[in-house]
Amino acid sequence: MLYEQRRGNVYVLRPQGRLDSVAAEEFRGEIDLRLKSGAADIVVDLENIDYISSAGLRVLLVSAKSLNAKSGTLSLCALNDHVREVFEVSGFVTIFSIFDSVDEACDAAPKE
Amino acid sequence: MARRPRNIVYDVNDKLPTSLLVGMGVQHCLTMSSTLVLAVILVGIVGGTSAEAHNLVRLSMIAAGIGTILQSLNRGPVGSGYLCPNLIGPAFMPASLLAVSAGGMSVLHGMVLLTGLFQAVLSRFVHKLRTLLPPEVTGVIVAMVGMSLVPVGVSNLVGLGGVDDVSEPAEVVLGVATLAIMFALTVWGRGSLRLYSVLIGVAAGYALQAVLGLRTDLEGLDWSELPLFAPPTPHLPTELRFDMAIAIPFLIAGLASLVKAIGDLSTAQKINDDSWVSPDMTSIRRGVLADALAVVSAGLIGGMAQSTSSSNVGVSLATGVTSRRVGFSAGTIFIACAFFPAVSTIFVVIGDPVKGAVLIFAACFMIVTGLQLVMTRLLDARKIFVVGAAIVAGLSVDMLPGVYSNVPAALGAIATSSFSFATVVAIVLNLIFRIGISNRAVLVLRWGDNPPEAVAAFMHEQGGAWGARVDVVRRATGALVEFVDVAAPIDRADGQIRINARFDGLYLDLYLLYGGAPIELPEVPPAPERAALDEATLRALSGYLIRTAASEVETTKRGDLNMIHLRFVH
Repeated sequence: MLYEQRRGNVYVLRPQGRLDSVAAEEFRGEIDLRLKSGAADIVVDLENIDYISSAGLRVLLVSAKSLNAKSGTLSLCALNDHVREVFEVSGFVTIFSIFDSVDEACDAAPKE
Repeated sequence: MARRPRNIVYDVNDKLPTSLLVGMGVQHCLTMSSTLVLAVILVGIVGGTSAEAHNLVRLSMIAAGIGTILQSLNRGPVGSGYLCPNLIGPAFMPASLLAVSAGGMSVLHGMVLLTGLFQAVLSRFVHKLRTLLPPEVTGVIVAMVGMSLVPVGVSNLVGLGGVDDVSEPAEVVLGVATLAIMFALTVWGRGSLRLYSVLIGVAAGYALQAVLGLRTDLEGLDWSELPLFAPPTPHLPTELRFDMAIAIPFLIAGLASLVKAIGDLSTAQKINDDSWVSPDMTSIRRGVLADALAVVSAGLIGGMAQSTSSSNVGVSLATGVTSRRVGFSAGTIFIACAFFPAVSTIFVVIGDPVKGAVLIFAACFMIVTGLQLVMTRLLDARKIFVVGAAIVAGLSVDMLPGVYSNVPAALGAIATSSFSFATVVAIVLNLIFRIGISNRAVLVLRWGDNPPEAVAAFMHEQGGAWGARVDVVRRATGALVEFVDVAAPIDRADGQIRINARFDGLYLDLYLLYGGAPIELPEVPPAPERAALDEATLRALSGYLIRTAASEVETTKRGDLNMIHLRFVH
C-alpha cells in the first residue's frame, strides 16, 4: 500500500510495512509511473516502514539514479531507529539525503 | 558500557560542589519527609501525645538516614550504589496499626525488626527473581507506585491530608501554586533553577503557607519549649516484643516493599544509562539488603518501618542529579536534623498542600517511567492481561475503598494498598500465564509461502509470548527478513528453510537451516553503489547485514543442510 501527497512540485510517497524484494519492485513501478508523469523531485517518507532489506535499498538506489539522470532528486525522511541502522551499517546513509521529517525534506527540495 | 542520558546533569558517579551537594541533600530530605506524617497519624490513632509523635518521627528520620547512606554505598555486600533514599513505608501502615493496637509500640518495633530480618534473608535470593519479575511486571509495579501516590497526593494538595477533613480554598491555592512552581522550574528552568525545582517549590510553599495562615499537623506542640539540641529517646531492644498472630501482614508488607525496592532500584539504574536493557541483579541484591537493614535499624531504635522512596527517585530524574553522593548528603542531613527538635519539626509542619504537590510531582515521573519500562518489551495477550489486570486491581483499591473491607485481617496489608494488591496480581498472573510458553519455537517455510511475511509474523508472535525486548526482536526479524528475502530465498534454498528459535531471557538464538549452496556472510560491506549493479554484490550486502545484525554468528553444516546460528544478546 502506498500513500501519496503533492507539495508543490514535490511528490511525497509513503510506503507501508516492509520494503522487501516484492514490495520494493512494486514501489519501483510506482516511482517509474511518477517519472513518466513528469515528477522531478520525490520524497520517500519511511515513517511506516518497519523493515528494509538489501533489495529495498537497491530499489531506492536505482530510483535515485533514474531521477538524478533527469536532474531530479530523491530524498528520504522519518527513518525509524532500526531502518536508520540498516542505512548506516550498509553505508547507504552517505548516498542519500536523509531528513527527520517530510517538512524538512520538502523544504530542501529544489524550488521550481 | 553505561551511556549518560542527555537529561542527566550529574550522574550516579559524579562529584558535586559542596554547596550543590548540601542543597540537593536538603531537597531530598524534604521529599523523604513526605511520609513522616504517618508517624503522627499512628500515634494519634492510639491516643499518644504530640511529644511521643515527634519522638517517633525523629527516630524514623534516623532510620531513613541510615538506610539512605547504606543504599548509596558502592562497594561491599551492602548498597546498590544508587541514589535511592528511604522513608517511612506507607505499605507498612496497616500492619503497623494492627501491631500498635495489639500490644503498643513494643510490638510494633519487634515486628518491624522481624520484617527487616525477613527481607535481609530474601535479599540473598533476589537474583532468582528475574523470572518472577520480568520488566513488564517491575514496570507495572513502578507505575502503580506512582498511581498509589495519587489519592494521598491529591488529598493533601487540596488540604484533606492527615487529620484534616475540610478543604479550604486557600489550601487549594497553596497546593496548586506549589505544584505549578515545581512544574515550571523543571520545564523551563536552567541550571540551578531546574536542579532545585523541588526545594524552591517547597520553600515558596512554606512562605505562602505562612502568608495564608494555614494549619499544620503538630498543633499541640509548643515551639518555645523545644530545645535546640536533644537526641530522640530510642526504644530499648530489651523492650521489644513479638506477636506471631500479626506476622503475616508484616511479612506481606515486607515482601511488597522488597518488590517495590526492586522496582525503584531498576528505575534508578535505567535513568542513569541510556543503554540500559535489563536490571543489574547484583546491584539490586545489595540494594535490597540495604533497604532491609534500614528496616532492621528502625526496629532496633524504635522508628517506623522503612522502604525505598519512589518519590525521591522521581525527583532525581526531574532535576537531573542522580549522584550517589547526594544520598550520603541527604542521609547525613536527615539524621542530624533528628537531633535538633526545632529543625526536625520543620519537616513535619510542612503543609498538606505542599506535601501533596511534592507527591504529585514525583508521581508523574514514576507513572511514566514505569509505563516506559513495560513498553520496552513486546506484549502479547498474556502480558497485556498481566499489566492490565494489575492496574485494574490496584486502582480498584483506591477507587472503591470499601469493596475489600471484608477480607481477613491477615490480608489487609494487601487489600488496603493499591500498590501491594497490584504487585500480587502482577506476580501471580505472570506465573500462571507462563503455563504453555515454551522457550523454543520452529518455523518451516515452504514453496508458496510469503517468507518475509511469515518470518515477521513468527517473530512478532514469539517475541510477544516471550516478552522479549522490542529492539532485539526487531533486529532479529530484520536479519531473518534479509535471509529469506535476498540471501537464501526459498528457490535458491531448494525449497528447504527451517528456523529454530530459542529464548532464555539472556539470549535469543536463531538456527537457520537451509538447502542449496551456502551463503557468504562477509565481514566487510561491498561499496554501496555497486549493489545497484549485480546480484552477487547484492547478496554480499545481504550477507553482511545478516552478520552485523547479530551479536554472534556461526556457520556450519548439519547433514545435507547448511546452518547459520545467530545469537542476539537480550
